[in-house]
Amino acid sequence: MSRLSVALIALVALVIGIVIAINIAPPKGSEVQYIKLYPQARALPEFTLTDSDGQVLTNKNLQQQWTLVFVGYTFCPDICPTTLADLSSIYPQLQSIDSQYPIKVAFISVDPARDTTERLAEYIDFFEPDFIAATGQHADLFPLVRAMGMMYSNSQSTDDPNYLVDHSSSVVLINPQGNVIGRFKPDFTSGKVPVSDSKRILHDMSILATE
Amino acid sequence: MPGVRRANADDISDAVALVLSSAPVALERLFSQQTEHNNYHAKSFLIRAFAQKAGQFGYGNHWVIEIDNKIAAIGCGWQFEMGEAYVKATLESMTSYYQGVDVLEVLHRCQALQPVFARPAADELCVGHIGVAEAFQRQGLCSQLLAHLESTAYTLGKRKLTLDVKQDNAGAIDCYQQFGFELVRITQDTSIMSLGTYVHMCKLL
Repeated sequence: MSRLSVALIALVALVIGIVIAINIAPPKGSEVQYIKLYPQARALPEFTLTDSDGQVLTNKNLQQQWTLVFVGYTFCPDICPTTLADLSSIYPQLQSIDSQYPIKVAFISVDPARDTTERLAEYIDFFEPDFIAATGQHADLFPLVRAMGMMYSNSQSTDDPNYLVDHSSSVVLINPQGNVIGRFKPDFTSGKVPVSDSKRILHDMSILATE
Repeated sequence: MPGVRRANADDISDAVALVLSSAPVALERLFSQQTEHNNYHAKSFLIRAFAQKAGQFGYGNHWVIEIDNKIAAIGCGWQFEMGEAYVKATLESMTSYYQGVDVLEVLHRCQALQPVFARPAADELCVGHIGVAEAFQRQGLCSQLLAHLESTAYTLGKRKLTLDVKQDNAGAIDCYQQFGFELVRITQDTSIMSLGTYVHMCKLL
């Protein structure tokens, strides 16, 4: 066999190899870029909340699904409505991700005194009726929110009916085992309400939920 | 690494420059004032106030890090109850600089900022006047100061470390986030000073 033939066969083999490699084992498009993954998944404490349908919501309701969780309150003037509107804008795309488990969004109110079941239902329906909304007693809420790596506090007197509640503006991710694995921190782009960037969430979810 | 120490009167020029750098627009709009007879400057006021030990701007309420005979970083902590002497000294620092009724204007502006910079709750230590000299930035001094104030908060039995920072102050927010602070509230200054948007950050202890 001439040297040229050997070279040609080698070249053809190489090209076939590359074609097979690309088609059978395509290179990973990208990796997660934005979520801050916790060093290891954290288990959530046992909790019992009430959702916007008046049904009990426990740890089990956050298993066998991916859940993007956001904490806040319906009287929140800026962070909550902006985050929920952003999450509802990417919700159709989140639903179209080819994931083994469904991707859900949950809003947990840390202001049970004002956020009644009816108010929660009305509020969440405005953004996306499919979103989960729930609240409960502080004895359940506080350890749950802390375990997720977030916080909230009533720094203002609740004597004023328009009191504000301080709360984290991150969006955390619960895996199908019901453990929190990381969070999307707020984006401090000047001139915008500093909330988690929904496009970044969508980007990372399309990778995490299909792994 | 040089330690954090209490400020003293000799730190005045570096210290005041750093306090000013912690909130240049806010301090300028709060304390600079032109009247028919007087021209007041924030820097002059702060120099006078820092020369005293007591009061909000007095040297005795500030912590510093000194490197090579220069004040590289400064900060302070406020709590719900600062004591009568503190309030009296703060007022005196103003009345001794702003003549006659001019001080009322300053007090009025300070009052107008209360919705933005709320008084700390009883379980909080609120961090303020954080400034790091340009030549010493990105060397961990901000975190070192915060760690010192955090341990002060523990000693005082506080449960939260809080602060307010301008939303566009990316460098400071980065440092605070790395230290474990979280954005928990957004506040907009609607006063005549138009200071813009601030974020209230908190770290649970």
